[in-house]
Amino acid sequence: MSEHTTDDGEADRLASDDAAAIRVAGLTRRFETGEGVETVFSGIDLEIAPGSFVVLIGKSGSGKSTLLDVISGVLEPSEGSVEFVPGDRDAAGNGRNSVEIGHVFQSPRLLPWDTAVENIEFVHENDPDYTDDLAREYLDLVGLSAHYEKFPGQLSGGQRQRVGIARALSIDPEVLLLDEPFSNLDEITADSLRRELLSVWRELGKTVLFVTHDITEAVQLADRILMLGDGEIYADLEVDLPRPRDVDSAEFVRFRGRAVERFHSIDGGEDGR
Amino acid sequence: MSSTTGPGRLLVENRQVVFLEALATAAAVWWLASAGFGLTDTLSSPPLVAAAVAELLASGEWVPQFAATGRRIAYGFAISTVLGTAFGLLMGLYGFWEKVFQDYITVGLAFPSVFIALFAAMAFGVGDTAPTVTAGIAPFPFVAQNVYQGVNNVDTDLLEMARSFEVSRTRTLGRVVFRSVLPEWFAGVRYGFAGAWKLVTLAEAIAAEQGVGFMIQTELTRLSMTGVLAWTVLFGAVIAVFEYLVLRRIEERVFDWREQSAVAW
Amino acid sequence: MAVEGARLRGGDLTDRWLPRAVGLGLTFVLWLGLATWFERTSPVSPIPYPVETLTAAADLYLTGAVFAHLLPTLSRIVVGFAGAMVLGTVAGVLMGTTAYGEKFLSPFVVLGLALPSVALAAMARLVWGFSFAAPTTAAAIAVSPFVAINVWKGVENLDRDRLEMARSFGVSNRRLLRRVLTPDVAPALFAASRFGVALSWKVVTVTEVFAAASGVGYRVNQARGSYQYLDAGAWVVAFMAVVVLVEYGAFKPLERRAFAHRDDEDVELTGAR
Repeated sequence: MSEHTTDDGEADRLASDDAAAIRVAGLTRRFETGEGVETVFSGIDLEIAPGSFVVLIGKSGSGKSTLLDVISGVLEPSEGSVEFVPGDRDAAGNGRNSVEIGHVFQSPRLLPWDTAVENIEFVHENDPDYTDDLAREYLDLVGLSAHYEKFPGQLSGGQRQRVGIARALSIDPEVLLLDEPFSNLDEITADSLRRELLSVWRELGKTVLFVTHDITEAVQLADRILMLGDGEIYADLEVDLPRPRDVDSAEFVRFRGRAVERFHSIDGGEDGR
Repeated sequence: MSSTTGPGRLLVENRQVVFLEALATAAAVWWLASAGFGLTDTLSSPPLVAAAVAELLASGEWVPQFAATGRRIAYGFAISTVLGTAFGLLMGLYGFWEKVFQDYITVGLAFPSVFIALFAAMAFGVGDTAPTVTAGIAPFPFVAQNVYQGVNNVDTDLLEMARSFEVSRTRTLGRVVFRSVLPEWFAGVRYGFAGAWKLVTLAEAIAAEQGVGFMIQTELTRLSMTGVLAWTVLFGAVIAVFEYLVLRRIEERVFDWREQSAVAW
Repeated sequence: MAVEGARLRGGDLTDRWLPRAVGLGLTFVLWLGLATWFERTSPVSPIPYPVETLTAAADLYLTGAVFAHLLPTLSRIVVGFAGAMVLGTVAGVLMGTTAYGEKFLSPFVVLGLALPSVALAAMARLVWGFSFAAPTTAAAIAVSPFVAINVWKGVENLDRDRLEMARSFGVSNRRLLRRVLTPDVAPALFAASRFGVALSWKVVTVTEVFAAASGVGYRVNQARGSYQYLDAGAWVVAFMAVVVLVEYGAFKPLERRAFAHRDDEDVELTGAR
């Protein structure tokens, strides 16, 4: 699984700026239910540029998590294809196997019986370069320097999610997939984690696909917002606001207003703050 | 626990003190009943039993009996642990075997163990085998049930996480499934241990010429309540020491991650 | 999902009954194997053959001979179990509601759990002689700690929020008991009684071996003493028929109803504790 080039030193690995592009073509996913076949989405075409921060937003039940699962390979597509185009690091490779994907889940999904460091070590099965120092570096990166040896039960919700983010980053992924990672946290914690995610993203330059149902969060984070509903991407917005973004600035509020309007241009669902 | 520690509070709040109160109450009721109603022959009495225990200890008579029983418990316990774990894993991991053995578990849990002891006695006669086999077979449905539930309760989110990060099956089994099942397995094993010593003594009373169960049976034929109680008390004490000093320690060591869960949201 | 649903309906036979048939077949083969093996190796085989045993057991029922020992055993179980429920519930409620009760009674519960059934049987025999009271009290004493523990946990786990909710709406005590407390404690009580009945079978039969002149335990032991192994097997089978009937005829359906509002996993959990 590991595609790390061996001439990368420890320090370089942290700062690696390899990012992959994602190409999605004609993606369709159907489920068979008791009543018959239900199509979650169909014929989705997407091109995600390397290094960009893309937010996928949709109302409850729009199938955004399913789309993420199909893109990440957890679920098989019914039709269509997902292609990860590697960055410079392994231009020779092709197909999904050569591209590392880092996952961050809605609940952090940490092993409760393992410490923060051990949780990161867990996903480095075939990595000969792995040492606990690497885990500690990534924990430093997310501000957990004081908590290397703590069990998840001893950490707060926000700290647990930080470990989850550190774990995803630690495999030096070219693509980072996040499924509503901050929706279980209180707003203050979520806000500081958003800032940190942005600074980590700027520093490491990963391609990020981030799923949420929160428009403010989307506008705050994204280069580009994809809105999923009625089984298709019904809006594709470039967010050209300068960074860092101030959620109280006039231009942010204006942009957010337009996004909300666009978001509610189709029926159904009840969220989208 | 308590901020003020007056002598009155101590009497109702301190666990050790209340424990002694409970024991004293039981002993007093027992003593009064036997002495007051002139039933010392039937009910024995605390001083008689204490004297009998002291005599057993002093004469060293208890050593060979406890050695025999302990040996049988160890073998039986090992058998039930292996059998129970194997069946539990089989049921937890494979849907087909789950359905095959679910009835075994249901019936096995309710099966009167004395029948197992009696048939073991018929099959193997007097000796080590009958108690060992009884203690190996009778409690294993409990162990199996626990392991099976443990496997069933493994957090699927964690399994999915492991798959997302392309962690191999072997590593997932070791680091996720095994660790998840451990508490339930341990609970089952403890039950298996409790079952082992109850069943070994039972089988010894039916088919043995040595062992604590055999001694209780002997005292019963002599109609000596004092003897029955002396062996029971001594046996209970040994088991309690083992439970607290060995099993508790192991449990604390293995599950230290649970102890340290001071959740700060 | 539709595929699975269809398979369940159409293929109940292969999905549920085939494994059970395999299980039954395995029992038969194992039994036959044991019987054959002992037949070959020992002068008097202690393990009777399955078909002969089943026939003999059926004969016990057909001639009515079974009731001479089955009825005493069952009546002892019923009375002993009822005693245990009363004793255990009182102790459990005391332990769940008062701190002193918990500390005072838990040594007795631990003691009761730890008491080997032989010791219990021997004591019952010495106190009560060969009488109805011996197996009955033995069962009551052995089972009540389990009931007490379950009730205690049930009372302790009562949902305080729900109680407060009911109180803030001015719900009457009777209604509170019926609509909130009973459903809350019912699963624990059910688990206790299920386990209690299973334990009653065991303790009563044990005590009958040592302290009774009737009952199935007494009868099997007597058959063993006179080397009538087929007889012993037949009595065991005859008794197990009742056990199976109670388990599958009463407890399984009741269990499904009592836990209708709960998740499957919780139901499984209460099975054997």
